[in-house]
Amino acid sequence: MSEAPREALPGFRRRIGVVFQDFRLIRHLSAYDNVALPLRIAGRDEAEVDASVREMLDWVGLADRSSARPPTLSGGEQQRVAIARAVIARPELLVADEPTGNVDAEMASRLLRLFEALNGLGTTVVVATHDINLIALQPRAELMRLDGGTMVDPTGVLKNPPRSRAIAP
Amino acid sequence: MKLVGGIPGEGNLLPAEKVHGPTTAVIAIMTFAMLLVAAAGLALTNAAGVVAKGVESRFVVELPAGIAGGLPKVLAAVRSAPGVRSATPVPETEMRSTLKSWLGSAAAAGDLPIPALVTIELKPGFKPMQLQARIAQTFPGATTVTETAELGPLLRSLHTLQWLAFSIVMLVAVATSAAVVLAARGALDTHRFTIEIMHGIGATDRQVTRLFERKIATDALVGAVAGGLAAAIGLLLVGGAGAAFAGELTGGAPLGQLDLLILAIMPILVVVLAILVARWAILKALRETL
Repeated sequence: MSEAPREALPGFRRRIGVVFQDFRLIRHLSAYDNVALPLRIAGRDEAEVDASVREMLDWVGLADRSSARPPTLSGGEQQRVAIARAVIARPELLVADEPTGNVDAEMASRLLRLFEALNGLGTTVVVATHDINLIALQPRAELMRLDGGTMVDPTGVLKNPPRSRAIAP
Repeated sequence: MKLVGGIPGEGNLLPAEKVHGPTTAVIAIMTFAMLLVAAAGLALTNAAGVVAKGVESRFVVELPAGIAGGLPKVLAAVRSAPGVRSATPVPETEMRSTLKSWLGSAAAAGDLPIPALVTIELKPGFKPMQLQARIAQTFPGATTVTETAELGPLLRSLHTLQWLAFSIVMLVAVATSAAVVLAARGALDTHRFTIEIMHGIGATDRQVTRLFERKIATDALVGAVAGGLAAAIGLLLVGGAGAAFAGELTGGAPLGQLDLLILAIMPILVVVLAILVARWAILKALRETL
């Protein structure tokens, strides 16, 4: 990756969706425009963009907040906008850092179903989390545990991490 | 991999600014200065052209007092030569009047030998050298002086001023480019967060660059129009007073239609220059940093 020619990076990045812990939304754009950005960058037709964005905002429960700007949204709402932006282009790889950290249990459950659906469509989903309950909701997920900055179980076969030990600093 | 030139709705990707920044003011000032200097340079070019064209076909024959045959014989010989449009003797009263400045009343003395001067103008396409040689051969003692030689220093000065004006226009263009580079880098720093997000999502350098090109093009357009209007007003004010003098000197308006067209195009060139420089600066900065 670090040795890839610069011209190849945009195409590569379009195949990856990333949910940042700090959301990284563009503050002066509406929720709608933030979510639409990956499709517009990819050059999708505006009618297709509109349909996809409205569907995605509806799915994350923000259809009525589509024109709101990030500073006027709560942390949970911003997180959902960030997730919608990360998945809207159906990336081949989705990397999510604490994607449910700021949402309630019901929304967390919906988001996990979305991730499962994406996984079913061929997207590899990598989620970094401290949430043991979240892990428990994913019995089929392969787990890798970080302990003190070191990957303790790199095989991905660990299914029941011990509650007594810290997970991912 | 589909890479597109622009992003729909890209006008909103950078926050709108209600007031144009210092870049607009700098470009306005640069355009104003560039147009005034260019106008001066073009007027000098025209003046030099008129002077050069006027003198290249003219020369003066000086006949010492008492030359065999005298002035009528010389005039007859010159007027019958091919390519001569006119041969006009300078009146003796005019000669004595000129000499009066140096000699006082002695200039009017009848025993003062006054040479005869004949101003010869040739038809287009004829060079004075052949006729000069013929006069020198037929009338030994007669001397010829081309006006080109007389006005050579003036023409050289005019050409030097032309080049000076051209150099100043080029320097102003370089300074404008430098201002645009600084503005582009400043804009990149201001909007670094947005650029990082766009790159992370898969935007190409060209797509990011277009956002800034658009902003700088708007600033440059406003600046160039403002500077151009100010220069036009200045030229009308200065030109109005100077046109009469220039007309007297050159026999026509100091700036022709082509000159005015060149001046009208210059603000457009400033905008194009700003866009190209901004594109280059932003692409270079993106490649250096991200």
